[in-house]
Amino acid sequence: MTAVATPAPPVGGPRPVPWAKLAWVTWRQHRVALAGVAVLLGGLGLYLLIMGVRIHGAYLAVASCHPAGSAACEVTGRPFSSYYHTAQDMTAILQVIPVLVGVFVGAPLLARELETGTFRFAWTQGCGRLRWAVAKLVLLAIAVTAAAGAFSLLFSWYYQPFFAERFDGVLAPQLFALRGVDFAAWTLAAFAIGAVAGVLIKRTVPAIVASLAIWTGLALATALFLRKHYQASLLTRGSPGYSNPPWVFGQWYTGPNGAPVGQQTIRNVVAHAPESVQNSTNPNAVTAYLTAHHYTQWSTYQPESRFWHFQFIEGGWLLVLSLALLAATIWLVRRRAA
Amino acid sequence: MNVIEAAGLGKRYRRSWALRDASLAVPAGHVVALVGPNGAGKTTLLHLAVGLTAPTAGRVTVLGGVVPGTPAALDQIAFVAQDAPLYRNLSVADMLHLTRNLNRRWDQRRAEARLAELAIPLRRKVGRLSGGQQAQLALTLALARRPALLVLDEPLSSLDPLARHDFMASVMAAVAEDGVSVVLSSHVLADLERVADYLILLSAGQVQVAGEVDDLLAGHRMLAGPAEAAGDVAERLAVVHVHRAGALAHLLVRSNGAAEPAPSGWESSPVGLEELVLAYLREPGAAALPGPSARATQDSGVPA
Amino acid sequence: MTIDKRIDSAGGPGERGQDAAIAFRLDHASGVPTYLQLVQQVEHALRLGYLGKGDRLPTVKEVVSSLAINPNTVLKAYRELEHRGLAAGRPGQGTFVRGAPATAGLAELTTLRKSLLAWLRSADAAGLDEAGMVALFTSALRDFHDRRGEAPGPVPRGDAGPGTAAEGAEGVA
Repeated sequence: MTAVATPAPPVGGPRPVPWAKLAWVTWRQHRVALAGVAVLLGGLGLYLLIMGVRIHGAYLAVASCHPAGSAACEVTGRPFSSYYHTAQDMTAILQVIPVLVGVFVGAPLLARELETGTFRFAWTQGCGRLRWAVAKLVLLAIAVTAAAGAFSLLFSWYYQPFFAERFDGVLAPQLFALRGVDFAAWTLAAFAIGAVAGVLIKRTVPAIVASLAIWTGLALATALFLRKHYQASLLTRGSPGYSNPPWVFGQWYTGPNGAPVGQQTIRNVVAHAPESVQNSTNPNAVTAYLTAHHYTQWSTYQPESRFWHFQFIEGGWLLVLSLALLAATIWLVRRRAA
Repeated sequence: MNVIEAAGLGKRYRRSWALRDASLAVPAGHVVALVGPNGAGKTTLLHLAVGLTAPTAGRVTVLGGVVPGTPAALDQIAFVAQDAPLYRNLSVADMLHLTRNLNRRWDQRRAEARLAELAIPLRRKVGRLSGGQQAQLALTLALARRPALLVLDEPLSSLDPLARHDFMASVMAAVAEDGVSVVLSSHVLADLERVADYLILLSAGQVQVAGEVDDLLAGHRMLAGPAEAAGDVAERLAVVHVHRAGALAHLLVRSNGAAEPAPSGWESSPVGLEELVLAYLREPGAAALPGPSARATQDSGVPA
Repeated sequence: MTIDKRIDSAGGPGERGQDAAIAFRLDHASGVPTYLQLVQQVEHALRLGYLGKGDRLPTVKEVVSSLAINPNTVLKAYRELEHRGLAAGRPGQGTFVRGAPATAGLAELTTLRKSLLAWLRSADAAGLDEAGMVALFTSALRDFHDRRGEAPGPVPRGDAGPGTAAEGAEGVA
């Protein structure tokens, strides 16, 4: 459609440029990055799909095998176990996907314009820098978050049999971050961190590096220190057991007087136990011996039932953080001088 | 209408002032040459006028009182920054489409006609065009927005002589066709002498000369005569610059035109624009600015 | 100063329906103001017969497209040509040649040329070089105009004297 020029501007100032046109601009300028994300998530998704079908098939074989625990069923269960080991590798790889997707789309967004000087072109067009920035940030944020969300649904389906067989608990740190709303939330946070780093640092590669470092630090701090405090942890005697593997993050012993004792003390006590106890095949023999001598094991843990509760807490504060960073980015664009 | 109006305009970066106490009243319908040495503050002044940066002191308005950077100003002003920044990995056609989508007013037919005339292929990536072609593309995009004011920051500095000529020819054709006002900066005056009818000379962040070229040239004369008599002349006429070579001295003086006779013993001749600018650059204390009465109206008047 | 008789390719016939009959060129080093160079080129073309009555002069856009000069300069030149009665603008169509500067008949021209050559031979015998001859001629020309009470016309090229260059800068605003 060709537009013929109108010599005089409309009375009362020009109408703002419609969002649809800005959507095209966003798409055209960032289609390489978006295509990269599509290829990455699409490729991994295809793998999850293919493997997931096999895993579900192997699980069906295991689940329908009677009697459970027999030698024959153990043989049936071998493929399933080997899939589990492969899945651990996949889980490790997927830990970095949110930061890769978010930072490589978010950091160059403004950094490249500032670095190459093209912002002097973009910010003097009739659209104005605010509307331009808002369109790009919002549209790309939605795109990466939605893609990540869809991917994490696929991953949940893929891993479901291992949860069913109690191989892992849902609160296990490496798995918690890949499912529910967490995966999408961390991706959005990476995008927001990348965007604000880009506008502050004004150079693409340093902005990417800084964003990767900040996100990684935040993710590690959350998984190791913050997440366990979302709700008051529960305390129990002994080990909470493996029937519903919860997230256990603290275990210690107390001695006869009730004070905590170190691992070395426990080892000394066990070393004095009779041979029959030490070499027993019963896993509870050692624990029974310790209990008889008034050594109690304690565990702090979070139960599996709190999975969604934690997902929404973590997703919530990540969302608030992301929105704050994106708002800061827009404010910085407004203020940024030539 | 004044296309750029500034009062006490200043911009400070960290500790130094890139532009200080600049006051201007540039009338519309002119081709304005903004000249000065490197670092004089030309780019700063242009960035303030197009809204890329905000003033530290004073104020500036464009197109009859509009604040730079507001939608009304952005709509009417097209800016080509130094080295014509464009998205290098986009094709020419994509750049047209993108610019069209970022503006309310767009003349696609004209843009395509210009590019065809210049033999710039639509399918080629911008990064693969020559420097001259990129500059012409940036100009095409700016003109297709049908602005009231076209601002160009050192558009010629990275172009070869033929590309420079073609670029300026395109700008002048646009002025002839659309009546667009143009402000362009350069540190090489010779590039702009033939095209400019309004001159602003910036030196060390301050406006030294501002006015219509015809008025400036008519208001200055070059006197040649005995060096020892130079002091007497200085007492009676406003001397801008004295250049002594042995017994002969050349004085650049402000006068009321050719009608005023030269002092006896002195020969008077008109001044070229480049000579005028060089003389003022050598005398940082001198200035040729329109008087206060001229600022409110469009008539720039004879320099005071 | 050369005149191109070729049709100016910058504008083309287009809507005008008639090609421009003259293409201008610019001499940056001559010291003569741009608008005056355009006027002189038109006058020269008229004298030599390259331009005739009714021929179309290039549009302002055509001129600035090929020379890269300010459109006001072209307007100033065309106004001066109108002032001298040599051209007239037709609204919506362009500027057209109206008349030719007053010039002598062919026989007179031949006689004048002969006496001029004789003068040149005398000047050469007296020891004047070319620059000296031009300076002498220019000075006499100015005296002649002063006595006739007219404003001096455009100064021919090559005059480097300080006093006489003043006339080149005067113009119709």
